[in-house]
Amino acid sequence: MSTLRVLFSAAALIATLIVGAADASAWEPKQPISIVVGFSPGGGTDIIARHIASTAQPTIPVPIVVLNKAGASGAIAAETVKNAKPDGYTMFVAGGSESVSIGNHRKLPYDVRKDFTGILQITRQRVFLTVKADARWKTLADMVAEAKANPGKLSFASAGAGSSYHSIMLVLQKLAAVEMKHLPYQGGAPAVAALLGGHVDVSPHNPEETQAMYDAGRVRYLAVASDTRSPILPDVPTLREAGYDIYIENIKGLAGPAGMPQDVVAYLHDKFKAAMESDTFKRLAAQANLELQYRGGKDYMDAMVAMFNQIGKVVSPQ
Amino acid sequence: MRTMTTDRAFGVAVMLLALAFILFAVPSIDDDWKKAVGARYFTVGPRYYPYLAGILCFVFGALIVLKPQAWLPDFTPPTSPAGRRAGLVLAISAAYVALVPLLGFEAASFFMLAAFLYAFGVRRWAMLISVSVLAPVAVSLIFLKIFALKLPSGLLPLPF
Amino acid sequence: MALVLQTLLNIAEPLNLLALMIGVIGGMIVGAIPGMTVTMAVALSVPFTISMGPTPSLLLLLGIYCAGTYGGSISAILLNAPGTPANAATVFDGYELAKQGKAYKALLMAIIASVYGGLFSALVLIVVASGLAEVALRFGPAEIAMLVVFSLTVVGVLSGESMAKGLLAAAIGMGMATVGTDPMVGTPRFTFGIFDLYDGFAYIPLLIGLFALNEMFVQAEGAFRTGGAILPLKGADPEGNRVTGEDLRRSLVPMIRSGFLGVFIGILPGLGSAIATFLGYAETKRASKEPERFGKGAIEGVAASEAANNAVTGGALVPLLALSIPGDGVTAIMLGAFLIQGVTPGPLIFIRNPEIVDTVYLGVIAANVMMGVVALFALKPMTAVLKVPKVVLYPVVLMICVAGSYAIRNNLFDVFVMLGAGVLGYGLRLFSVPVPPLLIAFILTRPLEESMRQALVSSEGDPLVFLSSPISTAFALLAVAAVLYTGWRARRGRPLPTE
Repeated sequence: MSTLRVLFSAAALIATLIVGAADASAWEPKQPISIVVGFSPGGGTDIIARHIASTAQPTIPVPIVVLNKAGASGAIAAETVKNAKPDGYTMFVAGGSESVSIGNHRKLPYDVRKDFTGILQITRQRVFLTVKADARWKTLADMVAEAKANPGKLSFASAGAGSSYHSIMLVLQKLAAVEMKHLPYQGGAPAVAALLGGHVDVSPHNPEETQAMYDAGRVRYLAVASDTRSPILPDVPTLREAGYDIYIENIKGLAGPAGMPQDVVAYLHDKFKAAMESDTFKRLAAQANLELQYRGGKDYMDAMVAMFNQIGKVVSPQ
Repeated sequence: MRTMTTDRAFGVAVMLLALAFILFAVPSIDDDWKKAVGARYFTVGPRYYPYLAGILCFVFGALIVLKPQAWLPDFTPPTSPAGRRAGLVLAISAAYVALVPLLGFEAASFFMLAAFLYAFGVRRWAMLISVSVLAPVAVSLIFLKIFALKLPSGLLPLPF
Repeated sequence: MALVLQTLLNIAEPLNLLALMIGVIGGMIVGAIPGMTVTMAVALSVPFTISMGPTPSLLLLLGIYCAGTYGGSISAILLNAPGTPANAATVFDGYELAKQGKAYKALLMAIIASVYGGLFSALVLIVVASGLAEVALRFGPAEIAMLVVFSLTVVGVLSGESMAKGLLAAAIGMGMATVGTDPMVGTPRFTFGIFDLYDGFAYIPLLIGLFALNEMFVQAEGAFRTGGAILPLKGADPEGNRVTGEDLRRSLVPMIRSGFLGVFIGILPGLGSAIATFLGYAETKRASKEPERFGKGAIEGVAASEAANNAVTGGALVPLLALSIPGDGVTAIMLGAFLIQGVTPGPLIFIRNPEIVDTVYLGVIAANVMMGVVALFALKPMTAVLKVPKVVLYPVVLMICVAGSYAIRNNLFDVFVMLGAGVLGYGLRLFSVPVPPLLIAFILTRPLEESMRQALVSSEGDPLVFLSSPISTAFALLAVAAVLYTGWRARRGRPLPTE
């Protein structure tokens, strides 16, 4: 082999590397991309999908379509995406009950631990343990003490059997060694009504569900099930501070089927991350009361699986 | 239709179906909910309402057998010309619903409309063709453009 | 008062009136298409409101909400296909009137009743909003359960010729409602591994199948021959198509009663306008001296159901405004629209944003007035649909029903459900089993099962929980009284047929 050829080969190799590095995402979409939403149009998850899609659209050469496939608390959308080709054209808004909670309560046609590829996390929705303002407990410790002394006397509402909200209360009961009665409702709004009417003692809620009642001084928050305190409500302690290692919330983001090629994931991640960091998206997010939180694809998947396993340790899958 | 036998037969059929529902369908529901975490305060399980519905169906089926109606104003024997026409529309509808996933909404609707109109005696070809072509396209466009909803496209590749 | 005047002038701005008009027309069209729901229309228009000010966006959404609830009556009367779940009871007499050549009259009465229901609910909203919201909170599981049990007694009223068959239909509806995930412990029931069934049968495909598809099979028996049943034109029977003083006199009390019922159901979260319209219709029939006229073209049947569903609109806005708790899908999305405008509904909205409260109050009134005007102008064009030969009309309706059933969840499974419901409805009809009790039991079973089991969890299995509060005891007694009354009436025997 001549020196010249070696040199040429080396140059070609270097050139490939440079070009490759400059354009890490050699992949370009050729057909419309769909973002499947597991809930009806107009809901919180739908709004995230529509805002990120409209912000990212100018940078992506093909149309981004938001497809609402409501049903089974978002699980129909997850199932649709699991069965789709991992070619980057189908993804769903993950990170809710369908990803981290329901699979622990009943058999699902997918397994969050192996059936999806994370693209990125976009928002977080914290869960606050909410009580009426005139409840007799000042702190979570007071409530736990009363629950311990009277097993089964206190009751809690949830947005549905098997939801993240239900699971948070189950994990808390296990760690605090208390027993409470569970009244599942169809969604967060009726659960707020039940709490305000005094039909349950405590209920886990996203802050936007109870914002108005909090402002009016009719509900209080005992704790938040997050890893850190909320910047908006810094006085509410986390469950971890209270001694219960619970970190479960809605971490909404995008995920595709398992086995998506690296360059495809990188392309989508970069485009959506840029969209997420744009002023347009930040303004839309502020209007819709979304708290932004970014995680890369792998970290996002790991966070979901960690929450899933946290619940799984308490609720054995049936 | 003046027949108590028909109504009695209906009541018996309802009773048999209800019995099958109670004996086979309801017991197929998992009954291990008591084992679930935090379920010890539940007293009524998932089988309660299905059982209730099944038992009520059985009881009311029995009531129909005991007191059959002598006159069923809407009863159309499937073998009569009227019954056959209803059966034909039912078959067209079923074929249509089966074809939508395969051919997509527009193509399946075209075949359904053409078959429907032809079967019920429309022989003005200009009208038959124009309705069959224009109506699906119009509906599909309205859903897509105004409601931003895409109606199903088929699995089979079509030449048009 | 100055603020009210200012709000009024604000609403009267041309651009704001335009937004209201677009909402009303759009709502009417969407409402009239079977399968397209008001919820969907509101959801799809929220993105457009982001760049608008609070007044035009609220007017747009309120216009869609009020007019969409009315719009479903158009297809219910003309095609036997209720456009939204809220218009299901309108078909019973509305379509009968259309078949008698009195479509114009039925449509006109639907407008009158809808506008009345909407305005009445607006009045309630304005006068007693915050107080009523607090009453709604006192409805816990036991109270809801007994209210639903009382509502179930209307099955007896809707049963028709044979009580046993009406009750059978209700039992079938109850069984169908248990399909899907158990509401309390999450166990799947009768889903056979089909994941699309986890939420049970969707209500709208069921409704379309049981009414519209069923009617198509019936029309097929007669080979879709035009003439005969439907005489569409006002000109064909101008006398029969007038809404006479006698009609108004008959409809007055039913409309007032339905107005109260609708507002009441609307205020309670999670029950919805479909239940209100059935209750309004059934209570009118129960109170009538001539119940045998119902289902055969009684004008007050149309008035009762349409007044009830539009009265729900103002009622559902009560907990939304006063407590920030949406009672149904539409108000849930409207809550989001409020937030986008930087307004949080709740106890403080009356202090922080009184102008928004006034805009909603006056907006509901304006939406209903506008709806009445637009609907009157649209009356003639609407009846034109009946000039289409039936043999062309029905296959096209079949196509729209398939598209609508699919569009609800972008799911083909719902199309299969619709076809199955059509076949079931036709089969039941052959044996004179009435469909309305099936539907009412279907929509009531889920709230009944949920609230009853919740109450039993709270009481640790003690059934006396259902008599533990004055409200639940009152509804329990009402339910018993209703059953006794129906039984007494049946024993006394039907009045002799007048013909």
